Amino acid sequence: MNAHHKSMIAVNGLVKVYKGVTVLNIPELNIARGESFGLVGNNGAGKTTLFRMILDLVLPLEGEVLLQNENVRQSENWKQFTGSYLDEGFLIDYLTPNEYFNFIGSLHGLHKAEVAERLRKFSDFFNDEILDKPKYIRDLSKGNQNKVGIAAALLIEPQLLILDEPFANLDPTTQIRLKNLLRELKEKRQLTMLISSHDLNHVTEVCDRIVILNKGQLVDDIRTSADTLKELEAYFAV
Amino acid sequence: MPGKGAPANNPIFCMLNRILSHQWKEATRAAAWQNHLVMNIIMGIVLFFMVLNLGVLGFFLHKILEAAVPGQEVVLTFNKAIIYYLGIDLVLRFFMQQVPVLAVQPYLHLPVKKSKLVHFVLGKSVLSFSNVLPLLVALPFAFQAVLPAYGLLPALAWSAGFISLVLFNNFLNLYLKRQLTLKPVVFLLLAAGLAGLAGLEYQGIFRLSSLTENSFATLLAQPAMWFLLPLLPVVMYTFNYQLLRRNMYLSELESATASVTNVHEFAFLKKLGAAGNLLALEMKLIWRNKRPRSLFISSLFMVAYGGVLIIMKDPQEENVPDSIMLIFAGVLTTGACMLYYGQYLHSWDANYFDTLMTKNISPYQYYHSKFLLFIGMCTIALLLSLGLAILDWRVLPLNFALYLYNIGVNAFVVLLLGVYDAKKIDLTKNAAFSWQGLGVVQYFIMLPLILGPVLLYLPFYMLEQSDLGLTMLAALGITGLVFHKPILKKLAKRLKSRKYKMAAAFRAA
Repeated sequence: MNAHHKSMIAVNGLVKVYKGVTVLNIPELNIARGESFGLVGNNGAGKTTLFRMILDLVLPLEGEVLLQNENVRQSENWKQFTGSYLDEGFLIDYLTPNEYFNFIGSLHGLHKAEVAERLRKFSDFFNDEILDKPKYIRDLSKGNQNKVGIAAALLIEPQLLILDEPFANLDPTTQIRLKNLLRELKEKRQLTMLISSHDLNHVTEVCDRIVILNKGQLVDDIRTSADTLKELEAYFAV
Repeated sequence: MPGKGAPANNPIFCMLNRILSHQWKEATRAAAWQNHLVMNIIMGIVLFFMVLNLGVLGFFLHKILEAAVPGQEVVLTFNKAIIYYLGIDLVLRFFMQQVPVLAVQPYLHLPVKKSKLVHFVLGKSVLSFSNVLPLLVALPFAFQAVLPAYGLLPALAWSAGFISLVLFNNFLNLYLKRQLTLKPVVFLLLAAGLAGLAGLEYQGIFRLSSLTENSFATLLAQPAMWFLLPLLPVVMYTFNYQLLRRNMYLSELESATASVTNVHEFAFLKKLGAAGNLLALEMKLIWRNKRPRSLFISSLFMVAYGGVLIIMKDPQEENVPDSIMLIFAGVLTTGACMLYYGQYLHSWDANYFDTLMTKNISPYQYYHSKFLLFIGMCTIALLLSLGLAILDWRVLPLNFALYLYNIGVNAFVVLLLGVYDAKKIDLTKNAAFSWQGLGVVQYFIMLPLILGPVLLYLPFYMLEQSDLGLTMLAALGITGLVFHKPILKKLAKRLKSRKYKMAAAFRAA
């Protein structure tokens, strides 16, 4: 498989400083195509900042992010193959979930019928709480809003998926369904995933590679194995 | 329940004090405030001079009135003018005065009486500058003219009467604005009623002016009647109180029973690609959210503004477009919708700005959709303004030339200035309590949009080539339309470099 050798994300000399404090400093980070990459770290470690820089929402002081070898600041191409959901700011709250999915689909040239077809795969995940309900997204619970955002990110069948804390606010059943869904996508579609989580259990179950971020620095880069969870717990038990 | 304690540590007093300090923090810690420090200082200086000027005007007003209307007692002249002042004041307030805001939700679960919160919100509006400014003229006038002519008690009664009418206007304006968001039909009826009164006055059928003139004359003759006029603001305050008290939970109730309004998906918009999809989205934004919707409706009223100016013009004057005022009116007639809505260009999208920046949309497509929206808004206004042609057909070339200028030049200026305004607007919450709106700062932003065409037209006017002036404005507009692609591309580039700051401000709010 040639695809494995190709770079999906390349981070070079990325530095971000807020009010004199270096909040992120990553000299080099490469994520290959098809890799499932987990990012763990305490609050303020810089996880969300890194995600935002990958999505060109935060301007780095120095350095660059390449997605499929193209600088995100110079090219718009990454938007076509990247599905992302970081927080509620990625939702349009006065739309119904159906309208939101149709809107996102239309940006990728999908017709209503194609969107509906693709959404069928998520019926378990949605648990009948999302689709065809006369409710605006702003009136949904946090957990259900989360589901809408994740599904919209997956709807476009991305090559790269970026999710910030996807398991937060989800009920236990949905957490398990989401894990199954992500594992299935990884195996069937060679999806590259970038997931952050506070929950060490989830992240070790879904990801092949886990990186620990602490105060903006990469501290450890681990290939997931049977001992990974213990290693991580040992690191965070202070 | 808090009882009646000593005034110093009265719990209600402490609570109000707390809320006031929260409000101060909310204002000074807002990203918009901190980003516009220079702007705030300039505003402060402008306000200072305004206060100074008005005070001086009030001090010498009796001399001015004496010279302007010789042979009539100055106080009587002033009394006659009061009603006209109130009418203009109300219109200005409607478009400029901010409705005081308090996000009540964080206080509702605390031991604070709901009635206190309503009183607080209403009481805060009294402190507005728009209430202080007229008094800067009227009170020195009372001292200089009324006091020497009538004595102390009549002068006090006269002042109390004037203050009452200013407060009445204050609360009437709040009531109108809140009805506009809550029940547009009630608002329309009230506005039609007020316009009707103005019409009757204009036609001389029923003179409201003689009513105020007489009541102030009575005050001067019988100062003991001083308590009658203050009843007006009290009654208006009660109306406001009832309205707010009833609607305190409105936003919460509404979301619980929300019914989804279906907006027709315009097929032709789909043909425009991503820009069309964004345009359809923006139409839903306007239709489904109270703030943009009421802004949109109230800006349509500006179309009537051109009509008012035409009625007020001297019937002897032959050439209508020969007036600079009419250029000003023309810009607003076809452009008010775009200007008002465009002031908050990106603020409307603040909640989901990150979506627009990360989904498959290029900055060019984003701006293209905004541009199409502006063309739509101006076209609606142009069609409405065709009604004005009944009054005077000569407004047609004026309106059409400025329509072209608006979509071909001003639309780009709005996009250009839009990136500097990164204020998050909450579209939904506490709809009855907040109407973050047409503040004075926004008017500074609008100056280049309105003064630009006036300044361009001025040389032609002075050379008595006004038709050529209009043609030139229209030609500029057409040029802008022809070159919209490269212009939008340039603007999109600027958005690309500014978006990080904007996204951060939207997230922080």
